[in-house]
Amino acid sequence: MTLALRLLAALMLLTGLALPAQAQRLISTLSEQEISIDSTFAGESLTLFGNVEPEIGASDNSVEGPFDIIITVQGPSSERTVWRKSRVFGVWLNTQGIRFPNVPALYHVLTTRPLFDTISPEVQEEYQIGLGPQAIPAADADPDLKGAFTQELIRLMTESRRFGQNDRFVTFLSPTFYSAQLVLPADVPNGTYLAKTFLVKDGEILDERAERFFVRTTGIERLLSNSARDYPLLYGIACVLLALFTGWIGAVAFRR
Amino acid sequence: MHIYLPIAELSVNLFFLIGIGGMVGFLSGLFGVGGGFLLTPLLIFSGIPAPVAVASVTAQVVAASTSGAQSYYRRGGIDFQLAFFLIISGVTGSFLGVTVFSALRSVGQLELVISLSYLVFLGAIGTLMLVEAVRTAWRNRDGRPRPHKLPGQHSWIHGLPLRMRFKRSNLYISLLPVLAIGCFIGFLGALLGIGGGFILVPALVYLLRVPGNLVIGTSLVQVLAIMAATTILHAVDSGSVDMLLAFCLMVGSVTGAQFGASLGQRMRGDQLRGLLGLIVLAVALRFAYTLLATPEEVFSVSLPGVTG
Repeated sequence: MTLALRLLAALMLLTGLALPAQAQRLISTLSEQEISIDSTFAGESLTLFGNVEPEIGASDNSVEGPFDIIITVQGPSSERTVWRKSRVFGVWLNTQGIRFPNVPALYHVLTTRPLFDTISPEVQEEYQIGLGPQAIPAADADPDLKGAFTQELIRLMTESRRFGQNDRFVTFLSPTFYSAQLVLPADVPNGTYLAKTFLVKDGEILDERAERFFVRTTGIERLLSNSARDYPLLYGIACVLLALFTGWIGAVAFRR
Repeated sequence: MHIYLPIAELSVNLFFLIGIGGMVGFLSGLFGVGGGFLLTPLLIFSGIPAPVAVASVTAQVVAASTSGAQSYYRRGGIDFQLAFFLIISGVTGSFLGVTVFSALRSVGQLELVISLSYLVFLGAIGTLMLVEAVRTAWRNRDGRPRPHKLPGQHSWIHGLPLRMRFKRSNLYISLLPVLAIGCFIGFLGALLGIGGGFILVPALVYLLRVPGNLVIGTSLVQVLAIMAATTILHAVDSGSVDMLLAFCLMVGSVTGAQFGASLGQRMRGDQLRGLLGLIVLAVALRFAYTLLATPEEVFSVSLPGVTG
């Protein structure tokens, strides 16, 4: 859909000329707005759920299924490098590296049915759903290598459960109420995460909602990681004092 | 029970950390070495990112050598004058090491250099120790008396200029080899996350001829000071010191070292050196395997500047 068409659709909605197919809206929420990482953190599961409701003011008060739901969960982006080892004089070493300036720390797609059955590749691209090579641009590299390295990046991130395509992870508990569960791996970084939910019917996206949630370390872990970043000198000195003290206690406690 | 490490940003089994700390501490107490050369590789092989492993073990070595140095201090087994010069040059070497460490991280070759250096140093030292231990054991079996080095016997090292008298060690030697050794140990310690005791002790014994009762105490003081400086440098330069990880390792190793030390007193010197030589060689071979064997995975993903 072009921007003009979307504007037209919005205008029609406002003027009460909405098409019957678009007479429903999506309501969505998360089980948690903030995920705290403390000393016992070993991953956490997040429940995403919502309901399809008739549009406010719609003439027809019922919603017509069946619907499909697509949820994307994306973590903060950072730079990553993909390395390839090869043998040089009998020794294996990293010989080629390609930088990817913006790689999300987490990217999961959850769907009611396999993604390719739900929407067309054009719609996927328009709404930026799914991780194709175009979603993660590489910096300054030979185009031949770029493709292969992007594939490897996606494969490695998928193996470490950072990325994932979770078909049939969204289930409808009633004709309109859906729920999905995503298990966040234990090594998720701090930051703002974005969960986007798309309401789909017959391959067309009818509505979308976005929710943010936060992942942050709490307690002593937060204090440590913050001070390591903000006061590195004091933090270093504190580490040394702790070591001196522990070593001294050890020597005194076990004095022979 | 898992514990979340804030700098490494992953969660690890607490008992695993204290366990390997304790095991390495036991060995370090047994052999009178810091144990960093075993601990850093173990952490790397078990999935802790190499920069965090190196920097956190540095802090752990401070604790381990404090314990050791304290008991040598009580027995008067430290030459502080010699330690002073070793420390001055060691801190310089440590600066160089931390700089090289950061530079290698940014070009993606830190892992390679760490593996290669471990292979070369551990391989060489391990072989030397083993050969020496086997020779001593052989001689003891023959019942022949050991040839004693004459006290006045000097190598070319003692002919260098800038000589200085070290009263405690009863030495009149050039400062140049002292400074060179200190600098080299500092450099290696910062780069590899090792105290370097297993290199420093033979260097003090064979190159400088420091008397046996002062060697380990003096080396521990130097290692303590250099590793303390290196911990701070790593914290400032790369922010990769994980205090929680270091603390778990310290608790394990300080405890383990006590048991190791009491067993060590009941074993013969050549047996100990032979055993240590074997362990050192085993770690070297493990690195050789990583470098030479065809890896299962030729691709790897890393965060900025981190190879892994």
